[in-house]
Amino acid sequence: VKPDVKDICAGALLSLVGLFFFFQALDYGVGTARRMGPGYFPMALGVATMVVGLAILVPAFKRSGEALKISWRPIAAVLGSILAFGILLTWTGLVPAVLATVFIAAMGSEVTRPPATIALAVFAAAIAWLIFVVGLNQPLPPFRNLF
Amino acid sequence: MDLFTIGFPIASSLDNLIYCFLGVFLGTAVGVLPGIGPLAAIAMLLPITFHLDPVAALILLSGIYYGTEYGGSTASILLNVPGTAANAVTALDSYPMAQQGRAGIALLMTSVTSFIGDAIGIVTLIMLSPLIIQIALSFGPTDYFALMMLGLLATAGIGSSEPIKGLASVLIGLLIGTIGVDVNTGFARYNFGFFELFEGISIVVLAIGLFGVTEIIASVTRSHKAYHGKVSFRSMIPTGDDMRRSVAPTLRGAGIGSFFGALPGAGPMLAAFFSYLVEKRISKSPERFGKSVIEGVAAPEAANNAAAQTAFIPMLTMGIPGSTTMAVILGAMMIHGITPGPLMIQEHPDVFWGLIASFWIGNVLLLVLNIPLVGLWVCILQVPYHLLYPVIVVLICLGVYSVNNSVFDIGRSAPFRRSIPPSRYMPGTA
Repeated sequence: VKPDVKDICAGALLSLVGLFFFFQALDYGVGTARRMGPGYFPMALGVATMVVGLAILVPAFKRSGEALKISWRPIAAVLGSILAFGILLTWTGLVPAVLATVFIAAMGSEVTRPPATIALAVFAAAIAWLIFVVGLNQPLPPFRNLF
Repeated sequence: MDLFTIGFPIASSLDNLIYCFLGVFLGTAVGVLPGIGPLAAIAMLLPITFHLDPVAALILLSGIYYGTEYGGSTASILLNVPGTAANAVTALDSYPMAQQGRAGIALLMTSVTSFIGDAIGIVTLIMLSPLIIQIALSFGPTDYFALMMLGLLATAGIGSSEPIKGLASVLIGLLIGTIGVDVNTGFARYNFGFFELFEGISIVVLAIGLFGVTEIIASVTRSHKAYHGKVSFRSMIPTGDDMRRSVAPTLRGAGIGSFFGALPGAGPMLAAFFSYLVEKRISKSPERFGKSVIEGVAAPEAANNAAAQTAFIPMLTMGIPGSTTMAVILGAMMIHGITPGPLMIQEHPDVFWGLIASFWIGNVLLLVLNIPLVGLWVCILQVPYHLLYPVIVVLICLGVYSVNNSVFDIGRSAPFRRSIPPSRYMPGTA
């Protein structure tokens, strides 16, 4: 496939990150090379990142590369499960958080069947409770705000 | 010899033996399973080590690190899927061997060459460290700066077909390193009002987000075959020809591995790849490579193990981590109040020599784990990945949370990478 979409996206993203850090750094006070302010180093890095981003972006237009194929399903499932864990851990406690994490993460795979997932979730909750609460004495109540 | 007077008595205490065993056992398991690497395993166990004394913690974490290099070849041989990136080259010749019914021999030979590679790596570590410490003691800030530059540029340049992308990753790392309070002015940068970002983004969170979580996502999409078969002891006995042809490649591989391991930014993967190329180049019949030659199995396995051991050289003698995994182990040392660097061998000889003595013990344990107990690992390979990864996600979340009991850190482990600001771990600067 022409052009190399993958590298065009990567280069563009990198340049944007550089641009963001650059502008933010200007607010922090750049100072001079002799008396550097807190923004001096990030500003220089921002410029360098933009340059490298463009160096990846521009040549990519002239060559062909792999087609861009993103598997949204596992990305959404795994990141979603991490998010759920973070929200539920302090809200409803360890056990519901682990159960939700396993259910959501398992949705990322096409071959998982519900009975296996339920068994897996219970198993994971038991392991997590045994290691982190019983074994390591972490301050993690198994249930919270539920009853 | 401090190794025998200080090291072995510490490493062979019952507690430390147990932690050493636990480390190499988990390391092998993690290595065997594709889709979970040493980094994720170390980060998961990091909070557990907070409760241990420093030597035990390091013995456990290091055991995981070099143990994965043993386990990693198992999946390469049986499934043609490398357990860790460093074992990818091994699959080229060992999988065809397995298809010809020589899986047992490949499994035995990779364990034996791994052991020899490790042994040569440890000897290099013991011989070179005092010399490097002598030089490093005279280093001033300028020398450390030059060394850091070399490390960063080597990361970008070595072993990458596109150095510009390596450079891009170095820059992203440095950018993320600027998050948090500026050490010189005390000004908080890029924290967007979040109190939690004042201290910057911790290396554990970053490593898990960038390498742990992404590895899981990538592995879910790849279809995982499970292995259904058995490996008998009888099938593991190599022929005299196999052994004779493996000697020189193993030694060459260990030499190449020792060199690449000690270079920052190189490491086991590159060592394995390079030693395979060398064997192919000097072979009288290079066309046979990729079609089950024993040389192509022995050399890279010796190389990646030797590299895993010598990777400790820059970390222990100068306080410079050569890879992300080493950076996490270094972070663990800092948490326990030990600053790696030229003074460590004098200030904490028990930690330094105890750790090295544990390498010897760990490798002997690994040899036992990987030859007589190979059946256990073959069983583990029969667990399908889709049943495994949700549990790994849970353990990763809990591990990251436990580092400082913060939900905020879990949210941040969505993909990022960072290099530690030099002042955090370098003696003599800032």
